[in-house]
Amino acid sequence: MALIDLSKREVHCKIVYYGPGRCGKTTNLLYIYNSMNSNAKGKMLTIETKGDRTLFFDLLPLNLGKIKDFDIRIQLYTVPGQAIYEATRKLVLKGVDGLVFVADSLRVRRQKNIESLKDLKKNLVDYNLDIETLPVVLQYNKRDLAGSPIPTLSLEELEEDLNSDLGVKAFQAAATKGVGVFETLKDISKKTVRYVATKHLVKPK
Amino acid sequence: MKEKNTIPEPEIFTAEIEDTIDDLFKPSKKIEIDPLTQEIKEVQAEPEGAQESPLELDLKVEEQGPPPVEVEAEAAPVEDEKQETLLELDLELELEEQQGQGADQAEPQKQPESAAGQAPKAPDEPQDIGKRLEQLNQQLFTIEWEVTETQIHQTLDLLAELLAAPEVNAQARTHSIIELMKRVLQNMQFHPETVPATAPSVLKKSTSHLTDILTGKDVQEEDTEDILLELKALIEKPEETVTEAEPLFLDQEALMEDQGDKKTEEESRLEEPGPQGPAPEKESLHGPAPVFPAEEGLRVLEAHLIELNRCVNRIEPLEKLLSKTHGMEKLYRFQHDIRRTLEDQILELSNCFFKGRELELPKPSRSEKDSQDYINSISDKTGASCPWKELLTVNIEGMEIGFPNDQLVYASAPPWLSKSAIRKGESLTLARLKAWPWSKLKGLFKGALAGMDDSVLSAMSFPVIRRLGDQELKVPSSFTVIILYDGENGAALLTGEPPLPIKIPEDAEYTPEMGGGFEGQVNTNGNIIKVATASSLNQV
Repeated sequence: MALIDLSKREVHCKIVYYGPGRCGKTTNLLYIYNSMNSNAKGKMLTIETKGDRTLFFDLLPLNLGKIKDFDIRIQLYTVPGQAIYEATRKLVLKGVDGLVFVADSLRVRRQKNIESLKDLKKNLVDYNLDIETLPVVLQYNKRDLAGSPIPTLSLEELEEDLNSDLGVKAFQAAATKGVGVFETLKDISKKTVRYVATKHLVKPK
Repeated sequence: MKEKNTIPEPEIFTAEIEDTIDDLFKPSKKIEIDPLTQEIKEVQAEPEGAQESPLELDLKVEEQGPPPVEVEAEAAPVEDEKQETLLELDLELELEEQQGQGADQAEPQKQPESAAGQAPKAPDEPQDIGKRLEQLNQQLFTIEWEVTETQIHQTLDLLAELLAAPEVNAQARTHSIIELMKRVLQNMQFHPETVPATAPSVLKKSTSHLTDILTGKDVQEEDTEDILLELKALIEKPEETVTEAEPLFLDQEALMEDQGDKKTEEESRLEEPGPQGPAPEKESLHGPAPVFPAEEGLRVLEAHLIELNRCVNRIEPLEKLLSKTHGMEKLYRFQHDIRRTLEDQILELSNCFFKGRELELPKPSRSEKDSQDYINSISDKTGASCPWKELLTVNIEGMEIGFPNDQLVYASAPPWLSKSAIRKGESLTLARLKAWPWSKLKGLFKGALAGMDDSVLSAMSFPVIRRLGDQELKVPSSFTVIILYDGENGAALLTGEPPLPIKIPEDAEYTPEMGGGFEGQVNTNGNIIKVATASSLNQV
């Protein structure tokens, strides 16, 4: 859940990049981190938890500065996509305010995309969250491979597989080149801030 | 001030935020990320219309064609990809394919770099002061989010680099600000409970002020004074609440740094050996802290410095060995960072307390030197050539295949219940290795899987490798299941025989990166052992 501290005039929003392993979630964050002007971004952190096993996720804090005397901060997280990291994935989703579902355009990953979206929905339900009400955008990554000899999914197929129920905005992207990365970020950030402000900053009657 | 207690109108508020998002969330430069190595390459902006380079063409197609595609769900079905633009992507496709075959491990693999807190760039690259200040600003942003020891260390390193810069040394005020910032960070590290919550913002303010000074902006002397006072206020606060016993000379270090020629009572005591025993003034601040007389304190400090220096001398040969050993890069960096931190501490303390006095730090002792020579000789002989001293080998289809001992986590005949399923399966779920459905998995494995809980182990599965190099691997009716796992990648092989250990002689030759599932090959007097690791098998 968004952290809103009226006494300190701070609003923190949490956006999670979700998707199957190797679809390009971290690449999205790396691109944002490396190409964005430094006055709004913090350092990209990779959290490595070592216990019985090694778990990872990334965090990139962004600061919008003061608006109407409020400090607005957006935290971007990625989850580990690999199946065995289910617990971490679920943990990272805790308190999420906005979601980017990054899908892999490679045809061989079709099933993984679908499974990952199912996994996301299931994990959200466990937190009493509904994907229908949360701000969500889809990003179809690796579109630069379309038209190449590598078998890729068409946009219709991706829409059919992932967006037929959701009906949310979707972006094509090639995260390694930055195509679609900032478009996705801007859109989900706006949606999330609007969602958080409407939900938590309603003026008392 | 009136606005302080009001809640903004959501509509106006969000509209304003959206404008800010539009302004801020845009790339300041064009980069490309290597999909395989995650290396960042800066791309020169080409003039409009210049499309000679296939890569550029590729970018332009994506950017200028139907704009970075926003597929509105309610919009008409999206036109299929521009088939007329055959993009020259061969190289990238190869890379993508390799990355694809590297399976799901690619993401975690690269991440430890960030975990170490390193921005993806060469660490020893010379950097200008602006870059360092930018990094410092980023570090402080991060500390504002979460104070961790690693972050503080990295920020202290950055401050040390800044202190060494001639631009900083040329001005006393920049030097003082950085010294005080260091002190605040050290307090954050050792007495976090005493550091006021405003510390991160004061540090950021100080960095901004530093940037102004160093970039030649017109900075008022009073503003610098204010910054210094704010920083000092942060430092002075913990002293009132510190309860642990601390030697007096530590306080002296603090005071020497920020007081210049103004001497405090503590300093005077240190410089002129006063009455033995605890100083009453200090007691009032620190409670019953043991107070060292100056000479005694310096003597103890000198002994500690000598010991620290000895530690550095011990680390050096190990670091050298690790630097030459394949697969030990992370450990090397770890040792390297420890050594650098120790050296910085020695230098700082020596400069602070033994300025003008020659502190004789010992050279490596004979035994240390001997061990260093020994390690050097080993690394010269074998470090660069073969990374392993021992391998576990099996003979598969006439090939001798070796596995690193530390990666082989399981080697045993399959349980009869699931033998057939394992034989045919594309992947091996560890739960299949249970002798009986109610059996425990814990205890069956060694290495990185040892000690994991059953719930975790049961959920893990690894690909079963069916081909190595050009060779299709046939599974005999009676077979051994071998599992390799390095903490990130895992793979299973079904072999006709259990693996046997073999020592690798020092003069063995090693040829890395063969492909086809092999990490490299070791030549021991004409006997070729192809080495497969968990990560190389995942590239098959």
